[in-house]
Amino acid sequence: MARVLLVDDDEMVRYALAKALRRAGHEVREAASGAGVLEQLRSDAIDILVTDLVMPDEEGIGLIRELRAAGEGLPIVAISGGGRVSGEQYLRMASRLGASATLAKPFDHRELIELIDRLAKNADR
Amino acid sequence: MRSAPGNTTLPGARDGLSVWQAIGREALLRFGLIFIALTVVLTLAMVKIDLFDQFYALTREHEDWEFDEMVLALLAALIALAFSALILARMLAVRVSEQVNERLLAEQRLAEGRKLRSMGTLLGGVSHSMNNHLQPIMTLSELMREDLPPDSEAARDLARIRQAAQGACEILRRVLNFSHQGHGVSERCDLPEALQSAAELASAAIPSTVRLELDIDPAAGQVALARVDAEVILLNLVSNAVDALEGRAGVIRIRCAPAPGRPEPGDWVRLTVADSGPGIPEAIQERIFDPFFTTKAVGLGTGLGLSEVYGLVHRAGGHLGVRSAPGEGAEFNIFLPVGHDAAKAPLASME
Ligand SMILES: Nc1ncnc2c1ncn2[C@@H]1O[C@H](COP(=O)(O)OP(=O)(O)OP(=O)(O)O)[C@@H](O)[C@H]1O
Ligand SMILES: [Mg+2]
Repeated sequence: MARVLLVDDDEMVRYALAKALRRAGHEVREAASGAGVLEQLRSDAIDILVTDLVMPDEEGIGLIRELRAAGEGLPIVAISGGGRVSGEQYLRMASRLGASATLAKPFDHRELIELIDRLAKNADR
Repeated sequence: MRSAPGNTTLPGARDGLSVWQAIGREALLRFGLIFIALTVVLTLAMVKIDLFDQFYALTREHEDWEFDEMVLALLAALIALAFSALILARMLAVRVSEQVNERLLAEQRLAEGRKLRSMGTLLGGVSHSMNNHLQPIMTLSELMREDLPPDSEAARDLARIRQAAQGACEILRRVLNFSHQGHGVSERCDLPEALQSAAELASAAIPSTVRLELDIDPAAGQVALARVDAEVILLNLVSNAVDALEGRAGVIRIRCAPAPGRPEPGDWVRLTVADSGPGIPEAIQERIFDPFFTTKAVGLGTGLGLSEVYGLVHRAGGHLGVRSAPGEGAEFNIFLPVGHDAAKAPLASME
């Protein structure tokens, strides 16, 4: 079981993914934007962050950069549906900035669950 | 060959066409040389045939005729001048009409390129929202199915919903290839290798009446395409050629070879896919790269194949074009820079 923080501005996406993750036995917190995520990571015990990359107020890219700059070492999974620039380019950039894994929407939620299991296991060691 | 609309800007394409630009310095030089050569030749010829004597006969009353040769030379010069002016005028006419044509073509291509680019932006935006909408459809239908007995009608319907959603994903993936927003500009592959394996895939899938002829130079080099993208390019072109043959026997030629200095200085590789089908009517040649343009029946073609090819080739810094005359098949030519590194520009512009 991992404690996952799921950040996506799309409520339906959040609902669906959170449901899938909970079913797989994970504990899920949700956030609609990147604002306040850093504080939340400090106050709540979070194992893994799953964040969308193109959000209106705080773009996920900025969030990843900020977290890594602040020394947060937790695993980050970046998800993106493509955007103004290439979705895949965003994903690549995210991994360059320190995202542990990336997924292009729409993906099979089982892939996300597998990823999270693997990342959680690695983090344990 | 009809080039696919390009992304490159054309220097001076919008300037008016000045006559001097049209003539060009080298044409003036040629005019001068023709003029001098003609003068010399005519002078020598006239002296040789003793035109002077005939003049002399005419002008016998003038005893002090001293500049005979000079007069002949002047005459020669006048004739030469008339000739060279004629030649120059012809050259000029041809030049001007060529250049006007070239510019019109280039401007048209530029406009088409702009059109395809804005379509790309539009479709990129549409894809983004669609991908987000598809996520809950796929995930929730799957989760619901887990709750239902597997052989219930509801479970089967949910599987159908998922299948339909996957169809939509597939279209979006192809659209993203067109709109330059797909995966992998930083990737590279060995083009001959990728083509070889894609051709093997293709030959297993095409009807036995169609012959694939491969001429792939293994030294053609690396290009800025993910391997899967190189395969997508070839498979789209081959499947179009197979479709064009409509069940008749025919040949599809796949050639890949280094093309140094073409179409621009530097190392290029050229990929040609040519078929012996009916060809592409001139009237639709300018539209075949448009996304969703198809002449095939509903369900048989989406009209995305050549748009994908267009998007992938341009992202890799390349050019493409088609040559086709009715009844003589179609030939697609793709030029890709070897070892081109297209990865840096788009990423840097995002910072
Ligand atoms: N080799 C060819 N010979 C004749 N016509 C062609 C050839 N290749 C393409 N075309 C024409 O160009 C059109 C567009 O081709 P394109 O590959 O983009 O879409 P499609 O083949 O119709 O659909 P899809 O590739 O999505 O299945 C075709 O419908 C066909 O009319
Ligand atoms: Mg096609």
